[in-house]
Amino acid sequence: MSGNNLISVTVNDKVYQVPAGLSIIQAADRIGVCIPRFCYLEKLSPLGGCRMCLITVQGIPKLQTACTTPAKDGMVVVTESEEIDKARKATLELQLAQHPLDCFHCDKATRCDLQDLTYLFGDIQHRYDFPRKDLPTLYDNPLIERNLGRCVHCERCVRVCEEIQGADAISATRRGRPTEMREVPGGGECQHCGHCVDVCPVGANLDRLFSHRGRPFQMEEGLSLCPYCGCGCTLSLNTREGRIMRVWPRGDEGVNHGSLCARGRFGWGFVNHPERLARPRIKKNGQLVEVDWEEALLFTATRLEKIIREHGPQSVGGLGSARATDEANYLFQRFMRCVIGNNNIDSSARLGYTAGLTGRLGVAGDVREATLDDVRRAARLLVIGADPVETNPILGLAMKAAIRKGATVVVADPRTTLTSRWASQHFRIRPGSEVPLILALARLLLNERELSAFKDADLLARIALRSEELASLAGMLEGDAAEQTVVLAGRGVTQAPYGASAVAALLRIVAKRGASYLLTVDRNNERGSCEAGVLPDRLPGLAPLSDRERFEKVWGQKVPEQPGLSAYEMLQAARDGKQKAFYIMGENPVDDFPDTRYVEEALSSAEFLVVQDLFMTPTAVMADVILPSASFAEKAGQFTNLEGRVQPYTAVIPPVGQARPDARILVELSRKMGKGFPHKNIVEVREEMNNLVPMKESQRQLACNGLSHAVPGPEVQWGPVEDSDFPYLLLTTASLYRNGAESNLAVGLQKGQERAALRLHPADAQGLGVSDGDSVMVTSKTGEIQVSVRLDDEIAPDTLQLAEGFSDANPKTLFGHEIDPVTRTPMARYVQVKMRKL
Amino acid sequence: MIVKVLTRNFDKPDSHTLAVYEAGGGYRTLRKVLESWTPEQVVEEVKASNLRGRGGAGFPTAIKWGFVPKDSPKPKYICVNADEGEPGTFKDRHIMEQDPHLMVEGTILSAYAIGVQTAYIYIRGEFVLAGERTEAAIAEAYAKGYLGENILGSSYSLDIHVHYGAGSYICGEETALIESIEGKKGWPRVKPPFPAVEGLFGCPTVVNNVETLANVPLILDKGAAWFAGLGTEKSGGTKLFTISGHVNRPGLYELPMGTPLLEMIEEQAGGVTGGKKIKAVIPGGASCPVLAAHELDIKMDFNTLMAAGSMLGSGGVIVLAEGTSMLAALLNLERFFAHESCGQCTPCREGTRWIVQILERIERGEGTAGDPDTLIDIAEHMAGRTVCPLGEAAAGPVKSFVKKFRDEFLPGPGPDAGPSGTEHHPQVAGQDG
Ligand SMILES: Cc1cc2nc3c(=O)[nH]c(=O)nc-3n(C[C@H](O)[C@H](O)[C@H](O)COP(=O)(O)O)c2cc1C
Ligand code: SF4
Ligand code: SF4
Ligand code: SF4
Ligand code: FES
Repeated sequence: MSGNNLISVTVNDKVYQVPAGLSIIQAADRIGVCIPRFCYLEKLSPLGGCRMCLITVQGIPKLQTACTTPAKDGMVVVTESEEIDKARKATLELQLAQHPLDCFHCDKATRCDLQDLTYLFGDIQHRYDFPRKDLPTLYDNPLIERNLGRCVHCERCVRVCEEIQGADAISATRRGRPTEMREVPGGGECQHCGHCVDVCPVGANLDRLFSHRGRPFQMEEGLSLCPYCGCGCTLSLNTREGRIMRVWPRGDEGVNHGSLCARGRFGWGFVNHPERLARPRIKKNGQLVEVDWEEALLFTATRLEKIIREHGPQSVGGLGSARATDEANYLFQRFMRCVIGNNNIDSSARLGYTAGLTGRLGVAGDVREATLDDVRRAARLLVIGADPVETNPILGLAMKAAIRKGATVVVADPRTTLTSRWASQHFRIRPGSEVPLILALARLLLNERELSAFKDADLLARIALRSEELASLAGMLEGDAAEQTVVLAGRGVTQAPYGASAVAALLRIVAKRGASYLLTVDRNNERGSCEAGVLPDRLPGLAPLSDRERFEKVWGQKVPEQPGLSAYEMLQAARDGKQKAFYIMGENPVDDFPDTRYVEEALSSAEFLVVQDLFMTPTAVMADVILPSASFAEKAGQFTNLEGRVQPYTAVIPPVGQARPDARILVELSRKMGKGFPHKNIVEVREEMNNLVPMKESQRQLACNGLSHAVPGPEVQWGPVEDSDFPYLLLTTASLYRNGAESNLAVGLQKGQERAALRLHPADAQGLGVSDGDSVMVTSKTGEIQVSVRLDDEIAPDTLQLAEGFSDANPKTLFGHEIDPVTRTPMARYVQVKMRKL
Repeated sequence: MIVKVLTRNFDKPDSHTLAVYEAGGGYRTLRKVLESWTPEQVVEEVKASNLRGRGGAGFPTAIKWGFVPKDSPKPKYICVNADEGEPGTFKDRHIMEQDPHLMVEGTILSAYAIGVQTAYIYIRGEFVLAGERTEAAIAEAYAKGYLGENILGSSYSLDIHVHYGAGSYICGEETALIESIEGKKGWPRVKPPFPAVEGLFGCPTVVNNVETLANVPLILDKGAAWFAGLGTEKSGGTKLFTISGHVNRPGLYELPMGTPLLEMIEEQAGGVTGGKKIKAVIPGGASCPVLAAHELDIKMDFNTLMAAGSMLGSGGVIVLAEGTSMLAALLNLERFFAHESCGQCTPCREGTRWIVQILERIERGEGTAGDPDTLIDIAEHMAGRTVCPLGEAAAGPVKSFVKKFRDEFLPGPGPDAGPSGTEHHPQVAGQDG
């Protein structure tokens, strides 16, 4: 061995040092020697079947496959010779023998490995002179077509679907030449990640949304970030004439390392949707009419000023956006604080990340936060009240990668989820018992006086766990291996009463045991919006309001001292007649906040409602002014993902119609209101923000407020109280195919799953006389929805599961509006309902 | 010269039962070995016996066992390859039908030698009687304490499970067999890693042929020297040959390694039907290159056949009399390989089908002058360039048939044109294959 973990190999007469443990093709790739291939792909286990990568290893008479032969110290490899050339050409001749040669109308042409290699080798014989068999193109997948004739049998699609996506949806059917790569009944369900399309070296697996929308060389590629969940995946937008044509991952770049989920891949359809708001509108005589920007901004400024004059600055509330960029959110809070003059600032992050943050703020000192890569490397994953596979699919893939390497995954969740389905162990705890579970764990693993008020037996009964089971959960955080344990928690914890206390307790356990944690984050910029200062009690960088002076100096404007109202407090204030106006930037509370009727009534009791959005959402319909904003693809900025990674990106296409980036709208409005912001472009905003709060450092500035440290008393009611009028318990879940209003307008996601489905146990279905696809009416104390059912024998009897996000059946309607006293987060995890067949 | 060693019980009534097996001294060796031999001694004895694998490759058995890492913390497995799918070969079936206990005892002894606690017997799905008798033998062995916990009161325990194939020839290839036992599609694995290091369920595994293992009790009973003496210098023991084709008495013959081919055909198999001359012989099963009439004066053992450019393979001797169409015979073989190719490797998947198409067109009288060379070219690109040896097995006959009987592959009716026996594999004809 020459040196530590380095070996020397001779390739084509040159000696190279390469890391040990590589195959010859991997070594060649690293030193820049090109070996042709079809089946090899670095991220997949080698197949060794296509036989394009044949090379010579000195001392071995037969040609070897570079993709399956380990590189060894002292090896002498030849990658180009007459014999090799002849063998590769023979393989190509065989591939071309069966290929339909229909490149003229193939979407892949000019980006096809078969074309490229044929071109590279040039003089390939074409002796095959039998009629080619016409193989069909399969359209059984709504988003992916499978052109069987073009397939070169490399099985990249089969392997990627199994090894990386874990979906096992594609099989190599039959045997020998008749083998077809296809979905088969009884196989895994396709999750529409599109990975099989990316890895296909030829035009066999194709994106149906892209079909004949342009030749690859007509596409411009722009780097962007996914606008859906908190993973923050890097996207490559393929555009043509300013419109998105398809979305790809960009090589292995980004946190997603070349993977995407259905939303990132196929969810772009809203961007160029015909219903996009193209011009501002204001309400005149009860009608929303289109006006130009000047008029809309003046109208908005005048009305806001009048309300402030008449009712004081406290009478205005604002919702920033868990979807908008860090910069837009930063300007938004500055607008509310300095131009309007209050701290009534919140966003839909209140439903998720904010509560977790409150818990984090309750813990002094360092707690190791995991990255997605840490999850990939983890040996043990403990998942509490979360379903990363659906809320944050790339985090789900990281878990899958860990599982493939042998990690143990234990899930504690009342629901049956995609995550629980492939966990090593699933503890189906009682609904609403995530917090007691964490307290019980804390009693075992921490030695804290506050916890002594609880009795173990009492806690275990609430959770529906045996003490051995609790011990085995706690075991995940014991011993040296705890350092390789990642704890994942989600809305099951953060949306529970005393969720912040639970998060704080969990983080204290994690810190003490040397483990790490990660909170799932449903929306792309929940974390960034909070860190940009869209919080009623925190300034940018999560600085406390007492730190105002530092900001005032830079802004040259006053920051109010009084903490503001959170989202539901604002809604209540509006119902009480105290809040007269709302400025809502990129949020849709009517759909997204629990208790739809309550929210609608609150918004309609305000005198003046400004909505800045892409679409005429149910919230926008109620507005007095609608300001059309640019989509993610049409503006520059940065998002902060669930790990806290700050990712800047640029605009790829121009905004539709007259839509404008959020930040620009706020700057212009501030000027109309006489307290104009100085920024000339987004870069200046970012610089100001980063100077005030280096965003990456923001977590360090945590000042422990002690609030969430308060441990609730044993008398707190967790979980539902029995109510015979409402015999079923409905639990909300997340869906791969929906995440907010935009996802409902993306044709790709509609094709992925058209409508909401209420999952229930076959026994419950039988009792009700319904079968798959039948409609039921689900009624709670607050509302009712109509939805079709899907039978699922893994769902616990007497419980129903319904995914959030589908506009046709919104479970938020069924919930009340109680909020947790500490986190001020409304509860929307479970609700008692009754159900009747329609 | 027939020697009844492996087949010594075959003619006895109820030869498949434990009672008959025990009466002939069965399981005596097992008792002896468990009482007084260490596993290392067993390996040494088998090594000294020159036993070579009977599954086709003729690999020295004890050396294969030696590749199993001694210090692996993982469990180890032995898989008995009873998939016997090679056309022209039907010896393992006879062992399982007529003397299954011989295989069972051999498996136990070999498992003991390697330190295995779980063995699998992978039986070709079509072998109904062989399967029944094997399962019955295993049940009898359990009942008598030859299997299970603490065999015969020793500290050694072994379980044997039976697993049936689903009709695919490729599952006889050792790594495809392992995949199949794991419940996966029977696709050969890339080697390395070899099964001895990473086999069944990722654990060290030995795959041995039924006949190979059936020899082990005899070696341990009568000694390595005796066994070695039955064979040639490099390969010990007798060999079960199955002789088929145009002979008067096709069937199974146990003969010493190195028996001359012509003696086998003339004396054992009763000569060629109708007193015809021999045109060609496939000496070791469908995968082995054909020998032309002038090459038949040869001794049947691994090394001699290898030197002659063919293989002893699994000992399936297929005799083709004068008048046989070599084109039809080759087409029959290649249809088999095209049908059985698993499809992973481009040369094997595409090559076998193309070969069949060319042969079919020659048979239809539509061949071209270039066809023989194209056939050889395709075959040369298959040989040694595939994941498993099936590609090579399919290429060998093409090269040898076309080179040795080139006239018959040229356009126009050859000297021995005749039907190819399409009816055996109608499902792979032409387009579908
Ligand atoms: C396509 C193919 C089919 C095979 N079929 C069989 C078979 O049916 N029985 C068998 O014992 N070996 C078969 N083999 C050989 C096995 O891979 C393996 O070498 C053998 O079982 C080892 O046993 P041995 O060492 O006792 O000979 C086959 C090999 C190939 C390539
Ligand atoms: S889209 Fe994804 S899940 Fe569906 S078949 Fe392709 S790789 Fe598998
Ligand atoms: S469909 Fe594409 S990726 Fe899949 S095996 Fe065929 S060529 Fe390979
Ligand atoms: S050589 Fe043929 S049978 Fe063997 S692995 Fe390759 S394709 Fe499959
Ligand atoms: S790339 Fe090596 S065999 Fe396909």
